[in-house]
Amino acid sequence: MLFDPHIHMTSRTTDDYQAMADAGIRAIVEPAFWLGQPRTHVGSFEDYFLALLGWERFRAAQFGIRHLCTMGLNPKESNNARIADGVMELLRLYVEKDGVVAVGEIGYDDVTPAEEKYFAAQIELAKDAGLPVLIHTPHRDKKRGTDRTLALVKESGIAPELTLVDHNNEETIASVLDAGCWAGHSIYPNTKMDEPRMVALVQKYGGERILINSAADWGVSDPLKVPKTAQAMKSAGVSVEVVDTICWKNPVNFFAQSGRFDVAEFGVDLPVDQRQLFQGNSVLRGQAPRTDVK
Amino acid sequence: MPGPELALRKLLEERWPESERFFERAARDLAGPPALGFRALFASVPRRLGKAAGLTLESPPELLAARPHCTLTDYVRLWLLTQALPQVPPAEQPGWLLQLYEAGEMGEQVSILRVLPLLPEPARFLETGVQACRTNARDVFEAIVCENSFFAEHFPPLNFNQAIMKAIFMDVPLRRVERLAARITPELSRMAQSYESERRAAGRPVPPDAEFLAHHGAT
Repeated sequence: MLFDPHIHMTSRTTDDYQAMADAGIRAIVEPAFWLGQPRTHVGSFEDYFLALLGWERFRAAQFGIRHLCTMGLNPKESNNARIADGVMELLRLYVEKDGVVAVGEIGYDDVTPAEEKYFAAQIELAKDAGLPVLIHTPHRDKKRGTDRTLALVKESGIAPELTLVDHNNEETIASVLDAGCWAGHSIYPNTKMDEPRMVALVQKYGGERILINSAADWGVSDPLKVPKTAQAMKSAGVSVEVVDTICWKNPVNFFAQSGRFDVAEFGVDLPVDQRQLFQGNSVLRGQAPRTDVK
Repeated sequence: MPGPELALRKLLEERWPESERFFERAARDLAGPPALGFRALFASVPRRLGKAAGLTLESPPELLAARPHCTLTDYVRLWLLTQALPQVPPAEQPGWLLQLYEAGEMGEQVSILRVLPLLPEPARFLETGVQACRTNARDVFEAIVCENSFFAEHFPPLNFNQAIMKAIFMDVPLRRVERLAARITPELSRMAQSYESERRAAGRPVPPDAEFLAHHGAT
């Protein structure tokens, strides 16, 4: 069983869901993020949050995939003073919804004062709600940005084991692990991390507190990067136990800290029943529904 | 700016045979504070220009910050902005422009960014320029960072450095950034060095522009 703990399914197709299910993915976490261009109204965030909790979870279940999500104001849009406070208000409600397992993705992008303000405020929100946090690290000036992230986490007082610091590379992983945080790695076709480099990192650092994800979204990305990297690790001689730790146990254990899902139930395949409708809508277009439920 | 404004109007009348009809229509939407009708007119400029929309022209000397790649579309939109802005209370003008930018499709955004340095007291419109650097659209990003005097002149170091690093990520050649040399600081060089190190650790090539910045000033 495989877990993709960072994937933006609202921008993917049912073909992707089918391929992910066929490749062994049984659970995903979809972090709230930006949509490729800035939103101009607070209300657009609310409808997006509702789509993550509603239609997207339903779509995933139709392919036997458990869909959880994180709620947050992403760093880019926290720079928009006209919407940021309104979204923070919304978040106080939305972090309480079923299926929300963390606050995220939050963090730095340009490392501006506004980003810092809403990053810190959302860690406080997570502490109040008893949720872990999923932290995005910046692409530009990455090392410095990651160091500042870890400093802010420390200063906030949130337990490091409740923080997953994402998009790591060769130059950030050690400091993230040393800080006691979990370290995520986004395996991308061209940028961020790739399979052979990830294998090398696992050979060096082992599997403890290490996660991998596809971070697939509306850009050039690959929703099958978790199964592909799992295969690459096995082919390179990484033990099945370590692969299972990285690709299943770690994400389950990290997000289970939310107390919002039953770990034992998670190990059982989600029965598919494509006869179901979501508010009258089906993912099918005339196909025979697949059903595992008698 | 009556000088530049007159020059602009003259430029449009000379280069656009149907401009008279446009000015008549515009007078209607500019009779009061700019509202939806103005936004619709602003959006429709290239369609009204037809084949002339993409025409580049030699700009009059009064429009010092105009660049050779500015199109007739950009100039018409600039003229609309110069007419609409005075009808917005001064304190609200930066916010008004930002909203026009945010609600614009890519072509509108490109025009607004290209003409930023030609607006009266352009420094006020910094937030629009900074927000533009958060785009994923290459055309929009280039409109603010490339061949635009506003970028080096008004961006604070933090936003300037971030945009330069983003240009490297997007393969936008730094030689297109005006007055870059004057804005290279030890901090920007440090960011480039850090990126150089990250690329080496990943076994990936270092873009020449990153190398140039990283070693700028080194003896």
